[in-house]
Amino acid sequence: MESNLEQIKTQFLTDLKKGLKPKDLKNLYLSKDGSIGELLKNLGNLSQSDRAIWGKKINLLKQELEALIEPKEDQIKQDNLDLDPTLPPATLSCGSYHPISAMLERITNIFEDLSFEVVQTNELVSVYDNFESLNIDDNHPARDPKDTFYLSDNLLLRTQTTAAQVLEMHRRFKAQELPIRVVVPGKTYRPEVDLTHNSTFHQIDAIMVDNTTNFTDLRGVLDYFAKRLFGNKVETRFRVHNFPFTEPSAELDFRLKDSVNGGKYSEWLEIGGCGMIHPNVLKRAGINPKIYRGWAFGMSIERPVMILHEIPDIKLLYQNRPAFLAQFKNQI
Amino acid sequence: MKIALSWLGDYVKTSLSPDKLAERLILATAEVEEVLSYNSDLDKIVIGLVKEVTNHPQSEKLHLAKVDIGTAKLLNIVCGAQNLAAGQTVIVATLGAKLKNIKGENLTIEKVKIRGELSEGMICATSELSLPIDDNGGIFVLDKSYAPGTPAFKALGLDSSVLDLTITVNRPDLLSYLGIAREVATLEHKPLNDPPILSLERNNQSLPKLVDLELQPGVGCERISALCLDILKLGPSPWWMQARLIQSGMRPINAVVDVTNYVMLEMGQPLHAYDYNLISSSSNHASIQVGTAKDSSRFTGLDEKTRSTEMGDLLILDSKGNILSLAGIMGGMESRVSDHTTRIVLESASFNPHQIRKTSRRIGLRTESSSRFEKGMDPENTVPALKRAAFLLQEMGVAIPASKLSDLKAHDRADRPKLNISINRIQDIVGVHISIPEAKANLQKLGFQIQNLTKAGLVCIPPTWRQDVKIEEDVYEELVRIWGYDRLPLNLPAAAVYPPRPNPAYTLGKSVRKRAVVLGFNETLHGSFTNVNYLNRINLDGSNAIPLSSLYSQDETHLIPNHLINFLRNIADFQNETPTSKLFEIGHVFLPPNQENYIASFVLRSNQTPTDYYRQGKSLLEYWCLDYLGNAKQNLNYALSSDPKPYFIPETAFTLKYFDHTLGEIGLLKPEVIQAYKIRSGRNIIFGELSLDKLLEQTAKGQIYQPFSEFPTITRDLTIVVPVHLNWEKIHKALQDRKPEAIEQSWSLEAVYSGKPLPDGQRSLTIRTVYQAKDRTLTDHEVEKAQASLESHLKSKLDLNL
Repeated sequence: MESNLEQIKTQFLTDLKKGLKPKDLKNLYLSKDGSIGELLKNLGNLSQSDRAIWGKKINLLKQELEALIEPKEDQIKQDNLDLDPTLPPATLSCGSYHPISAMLERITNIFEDLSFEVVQTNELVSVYDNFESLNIDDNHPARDPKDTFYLSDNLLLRTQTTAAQVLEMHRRFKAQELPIRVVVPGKTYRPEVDLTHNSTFHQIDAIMVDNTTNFTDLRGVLDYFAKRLFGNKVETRFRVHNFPFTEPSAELDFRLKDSVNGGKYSEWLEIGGCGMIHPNVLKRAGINPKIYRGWAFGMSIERPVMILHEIPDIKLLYQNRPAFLAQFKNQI
Repeated sequence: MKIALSWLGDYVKTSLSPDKLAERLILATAEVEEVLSYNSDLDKIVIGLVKEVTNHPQSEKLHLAKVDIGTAKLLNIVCGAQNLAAGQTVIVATLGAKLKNIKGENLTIEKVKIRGELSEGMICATSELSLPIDDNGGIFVLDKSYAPGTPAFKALGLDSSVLDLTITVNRPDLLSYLGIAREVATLEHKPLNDPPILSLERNNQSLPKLVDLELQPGVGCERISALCLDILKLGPSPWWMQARLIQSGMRPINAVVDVTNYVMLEMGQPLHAYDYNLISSSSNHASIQVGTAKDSSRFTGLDEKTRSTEMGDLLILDSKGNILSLAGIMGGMESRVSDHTTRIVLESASFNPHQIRKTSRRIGLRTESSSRFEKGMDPENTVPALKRAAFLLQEMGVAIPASKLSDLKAHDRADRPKLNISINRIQDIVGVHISIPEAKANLQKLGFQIQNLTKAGLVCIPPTWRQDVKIEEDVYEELVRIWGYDRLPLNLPAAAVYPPRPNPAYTLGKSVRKRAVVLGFNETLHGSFTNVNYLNRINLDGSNAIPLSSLYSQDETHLIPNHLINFLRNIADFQNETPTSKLFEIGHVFLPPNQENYIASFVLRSNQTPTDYYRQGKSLLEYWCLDYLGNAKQNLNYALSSDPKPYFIPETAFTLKYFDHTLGEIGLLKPEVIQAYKIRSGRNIIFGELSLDKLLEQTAKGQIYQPFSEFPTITRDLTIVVPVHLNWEKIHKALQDRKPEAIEQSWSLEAVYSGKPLPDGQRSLTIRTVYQAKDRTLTDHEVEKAQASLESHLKSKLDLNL
């Protein structure tokens, strides 16, 4: 039996090579009176168990031969097709990421690679969370209703993602989840509208707390971050700045190293603010600043989006015009 | 703050170029917005000596001037100025010079004929030179002679490089030349030279005390000091002073006002000069009181504008309660120094910064003075500033002291903090080694007092002008910024690396976003604000949204209760750009009283019948859920909404349920809603939203492998024609309400069609059934039998003719 099957296969392959038509091949091998058909007819003479074994083997051969015949048939059909391969690519239905979301995901990915955990928190926060816990006292101009959207005396739309800082540090410190490494992305709000400001905008904060980290770690992490975001060819710098909730504080700038004067990114561009977390802020989170210390970094998302995509007016980002959205089809 | 480097050189000498100095300051002190340097193009604007003036033969208004500009030949210039005369020293723009004409347009000087007469240059007015000096509409006549041909800006001392700095709110001490000089002296290890002052204590013993000072109880003024001076000669200030003021962006007025501005720029302390006779009650007594406004009164400032004061505004009052000035913001018209003034009172004070800022902001007036006071001025600086002004006035022969110094403090100040600085803490927090001798030297240079110097640390007391330095960490910033932010090494934290735990909400948002993009939806991100007008258009009102506590803008009075409100505005705005819309958005929406919901929404718009889009919308909602839930499709079901949203056609409003948890909703918008937004193109709009909060409450099942058959499948389509009003729901029910053949693997609705050749009111539905057996290859016969049984089942259940 076994040799029978092999014989049939060899004969078939020879015939196939000779260029026999599929129709003839089918007649010769696969039809009721063909070679395989004959074998199947003879199955009845075998014992019950042999019948199952050989039935299966014969069927497998049948499928194999069928498969060898079929593509030939397709090829013949294709010869008749009218394909114009110079036609333009078809438009596959594909949506687009909003450039702000794409940037947020890009940034959180970088920090996640450094073991930072993403936290998504409420946009409605208390005066304490947004201001008092961060050393922004009653008289600070930022607390003026002209600069903050209030819903009531004690409820407001957060003006900075830093509003989550003290609560998040407190929660994690209490659970002894050290080192604390957190990024807080999200929407923020300020009543300010011009070419680079929208009343709804986005920020991201990164914080780290443990008992060994220091200002040079912050410097190094942010240099790594900027290189991941804008490419290895950028250089960064710290320059002195003032924030109520960090001390020492700095502003992070970047530029393209070998860009000639007037070229892309040849001037220093500001990315965000940072510094060592103020001891009073640590204390409010229940953390002893004599033992632990931490640093924080905050930036707006619109700024790098506008720099990267060369978008001249922030309004374009929030207008969501179809012609604008359709330009951002690339994957994150 | 504009710093002219030639003036800064009075206090500190630096060998750095303007650009290098700017770089140092940017890193360590304050941002430098711009470095303005002398441009050699300006060399074409030179000093000229008018030799001869004759009338223009063709014009009554024009003159012909012959001007010596240091060359062998005199220059012929046609000039229209009425104040032109022979013998004057003037400024001449020679051929090729570029400047701005009176209208502010760019102008290049060329050789021209004006009414037949050759003109080889222009004699300039101050406005043409962009100088803030009043020249009464004529040419600028210099009161001193300079060598003809000298570049004019150099001759006038207006050629200094200028740094334009932005000072952060914590450093009001940097709003002065001395403040910047102190930084440069520290950064560059150079000595700092204080300017000379008049020691009033020694010189004025014999003088009367002419000014009484008074502070109303609790008023926001920490210290006020005053001095009277008798005017000797009140005219313009000497040119060197005017030039310095001009380069720092101020306008020269007269010698007294110029000195007050000069001292403000130099030492940071704003001063105000009153006409003594206009505020005094008698020839030997005047009183100045600091108080707060009790009610609203009218006040006319030096800018000749009249404004209303409000309760709580800080005011300077005379003995009768007349308002002399809006404290720290602007002096009054009535008491100002004029040509008739014979005696002045100089006032120097330190006000509550918050009150100054509040008033300044309310009346919309920010002056050089208020922008300093609102950041907090050092009370220890009021007297030195008066002494410096007295020195300058006396030196210039403008005025001499006429009274003893009056000085009043609200209370004794708290002691300056004593801060313990340890070398180890610097290392711990900043991560660099700064030696104690270096720390000591730099802190002293910045004005800190040093005590208890040991090997391991020191105790320092910050200077009075550094109210921002309160704790040791503030001192570490001082030390590291002087040491050099650019020298910080790029370290990475020495901390264990572990995979971050994903945040469920953020991760879900990412998956929802990716799924929608894959399915062809464009993501939008809108603002979170709306107003009642827009709420009304989707059949909601003010009670359905959270209002803001005060009016920010007409468009932004409430928070959005859903994304639909923004989608519709977007569609209305851009309806003519695309015939269809497939949009989605992820974010927080807000419901009264103060609920914040995390949702994902989509909108689908077309002119086609809504069937396909509605099904796509349902599919998107399902995908969103299943991406999170895993193998759970059988537990997701749509049901007619029992409480449809007011913007949906009720019969089309369906909720998506997982078991009995409502997760989302979908529906076709009412025509009135679409009309309210004036949407004329693509009027079939389907909106759906999914509560990501509720989805996150469910347990994700994950995707578990289901064993499948190795044998081939056979697919059969069954097309039935039914009346349009026969809902799928009924057919679906009929399909479920049977015992399918064992070989039936799955079925799906493959196509829905209405239109030709079908009669009106009929539609065809194609049901695709997939047959497969676990253990064998199916025969046609088995499949035909099963298909026939399905057909007859539907026929009898739905009473159909197939």
